[in-house]
Amino acid sequence: MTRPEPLHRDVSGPFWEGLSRRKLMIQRCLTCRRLIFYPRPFCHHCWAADLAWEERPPTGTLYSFTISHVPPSIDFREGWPRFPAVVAIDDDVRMATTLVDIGEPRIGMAVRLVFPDDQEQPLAMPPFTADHA
Amino acid sequence: MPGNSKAVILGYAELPASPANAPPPFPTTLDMCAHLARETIADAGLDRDCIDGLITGSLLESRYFAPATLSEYLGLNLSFGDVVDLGGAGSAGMVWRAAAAIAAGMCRAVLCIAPGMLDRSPDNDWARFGASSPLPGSPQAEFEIPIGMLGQNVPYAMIANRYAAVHGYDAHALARLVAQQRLNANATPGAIFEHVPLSVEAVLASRMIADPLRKLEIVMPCVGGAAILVTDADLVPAAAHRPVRIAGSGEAMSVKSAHHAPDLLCSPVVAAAARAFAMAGSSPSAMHAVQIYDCYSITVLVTLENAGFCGAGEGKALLNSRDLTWRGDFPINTNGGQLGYGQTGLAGGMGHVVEGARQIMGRAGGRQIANCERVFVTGNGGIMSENVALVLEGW
Repeated sequence: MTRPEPLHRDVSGPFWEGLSRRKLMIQRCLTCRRLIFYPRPFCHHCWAADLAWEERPPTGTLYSFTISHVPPSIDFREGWPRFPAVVAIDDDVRMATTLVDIGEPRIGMAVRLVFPDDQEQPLAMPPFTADHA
Repeated sequence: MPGNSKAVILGYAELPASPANAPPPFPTTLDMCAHLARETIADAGLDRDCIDGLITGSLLESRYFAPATLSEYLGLNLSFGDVVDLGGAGSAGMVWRAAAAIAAGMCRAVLCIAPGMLDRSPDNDWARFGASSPLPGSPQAEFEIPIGMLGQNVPYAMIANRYAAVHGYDAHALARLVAQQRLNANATPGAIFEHVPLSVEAVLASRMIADPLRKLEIVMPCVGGAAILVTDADLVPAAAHRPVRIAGSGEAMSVKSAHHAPDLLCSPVVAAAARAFAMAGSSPSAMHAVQIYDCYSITVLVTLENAGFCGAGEGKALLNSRDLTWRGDFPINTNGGQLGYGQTGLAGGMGHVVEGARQIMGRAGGRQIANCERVFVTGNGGIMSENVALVLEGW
């Protein structure tokens, strides 16, 4: 049994394409100025429809994480990510992700997104690692 | 007078919890609902012809049209039918919806049924990997499912770790909560762990599932179900059990996936509880018991703080120092809660409602709290994403 395949929505195109070019692309509402994630065709903060994609620094803060010992189903038995995490990119942007090469994670630590090596659009949200910069 | 004051809980029925791998007690969800309906109306002492409202949880046999499907099976004529889709908050959510329909003059006697049969169909994505939204167009399918951000264990563990980072973690306090609720379960006929004692040490030694949450701090899925009858106060028969007023209710939700919540430690319980206490003209200190949705130990801790029973970060001290048993000075989940009784699927939340009503009615037998007039009840859906709070009072 294989893992369920990700289903990318068309509105998210620039996000996934941006990752292949080592860029973190996030929408900003031109009316209320807040960032929007996950991608939508409108701003969920103020319901305006005037949005723009912008490149954001691929860094954030570790908001929470866990060490997961039991995968959610047999579909995930292979390479089960052991560090599910939530990263805060901005007050309005939280990403569900995983942690890699992070040693002892600490909530509040600086983290950065690990772009795919292969210039391909990833199928799933990339992981984050410790940001030593 | 608060809008809910016309309505009372007049009767209830509850099945014992049975193991998930045992033969189900009924061949279909419809049959479980019928059993619960017949028991509830008999408990209320009214004729089944008075039932003109029906709220149900989802039916395994019928993806759509649940209220009419169940009404047909039960032979009812309704002026109000509904299905509540708030996860574990659904049962508590049914209570105020029934009261509101009565207050609006739509009906006078509402059967609220929470069946807890298990879905054994092979294509059930929820059962397979805990995904509520696996279909194309779903942000969950795009961003969460592929990385295994699924189910409940991981997100609730993230609430616990966030709590640890902000307030410090006390595994002993949470293990003590579980052990004290188990004492309550040991006094509850029908609880899955009625005959199984549990120590703090055993909780702390149980298998780590998602750090810091251990297996015995997590509910065990069971099969079961419960129902209540909510009626106009004018319908109370002379020989009734003591009716239970729905004195206050509150509900809140904003996001589905916990990581989109602005503050993982500030759940919708804050708003729901504040609204319920305000409507009831009451406060946490006036409660004689609390029946708190307890899918995980951490859920109870965060709920108690969010509902104002103690300040932020003070829940650990409360859980470590008070007597949480039915005999004690701060009774929590006097039937064992779902941790002690078993989580009967989406019906688990109705167990808290029924136990709150049972204590106020004076029908809790060997675990009866003396002079129980007011009970606070919560419902919780998703990852503390949908919350309902109720203040129940004796009439």
